[in-house]
Amino acid sequence: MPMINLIQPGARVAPFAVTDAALTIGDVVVTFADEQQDTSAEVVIRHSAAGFAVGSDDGAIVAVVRIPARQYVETEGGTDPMSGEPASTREALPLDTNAVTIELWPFAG
Amino acid sequence: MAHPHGSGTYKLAVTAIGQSVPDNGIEIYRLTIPAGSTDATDPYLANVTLTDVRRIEVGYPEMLDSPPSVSLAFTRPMRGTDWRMDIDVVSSTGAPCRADQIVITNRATNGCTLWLGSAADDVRIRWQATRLHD
Repeated sequence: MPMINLIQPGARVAPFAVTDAALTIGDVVVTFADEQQDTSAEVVIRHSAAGFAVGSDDGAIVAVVRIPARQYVETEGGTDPMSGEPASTREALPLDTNAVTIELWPFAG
Repeated sequence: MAHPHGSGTYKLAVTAIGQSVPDNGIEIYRLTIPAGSTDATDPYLANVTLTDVRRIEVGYPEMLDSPPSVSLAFTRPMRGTDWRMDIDVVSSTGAPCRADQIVITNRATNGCTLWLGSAADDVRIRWQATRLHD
């Protein structure tokens, strides 16, 4: 399960639901594995007059999800079909959702 | 966690349960211990989960793949996101850190997030956000 941090302990936060795979706030669903990239990712959910939104430039932050960069394992084996030299393949490891952090910001509306 | 010890070496340490990583420490693994875990119920720590939280920078120093990111919440929200911010670096350890190595991202009415584009650690800043006619 992701780790949840509160920006201001004791303050009200937006109604949210979290599982091992996704965070839901309003009608916005952030699926952690889908947002993972080769660099660390920061998904920001904001609230404005238009409601909750991801990736908008407007409104107040209600939650920040930080997802670590994808990690790979390299396995030696096979040969390069072009050069005939020994080759290795890189395979992405599945996301460890315990390493995801969710930050909940104070929410008034 | 690990912290610098002597010249170029690191010393490993474990924090107390629920304690955050102290200054000058680098978080590398997070342990999750289920409730009621004792020597009798789980002598070989089979139910303790180890979470890898290391930041790996394969492209360093040309680029940072996972710059440290912190959130900055305003005590009073602004009426718009078109505020400006002045940053003054008070102190840092390990490497120099210029004010322009701190990148302001996700500008919102109630705060923003800051990325650190420097090898420095334990950077302390003073900031001021202003918005005319707020």
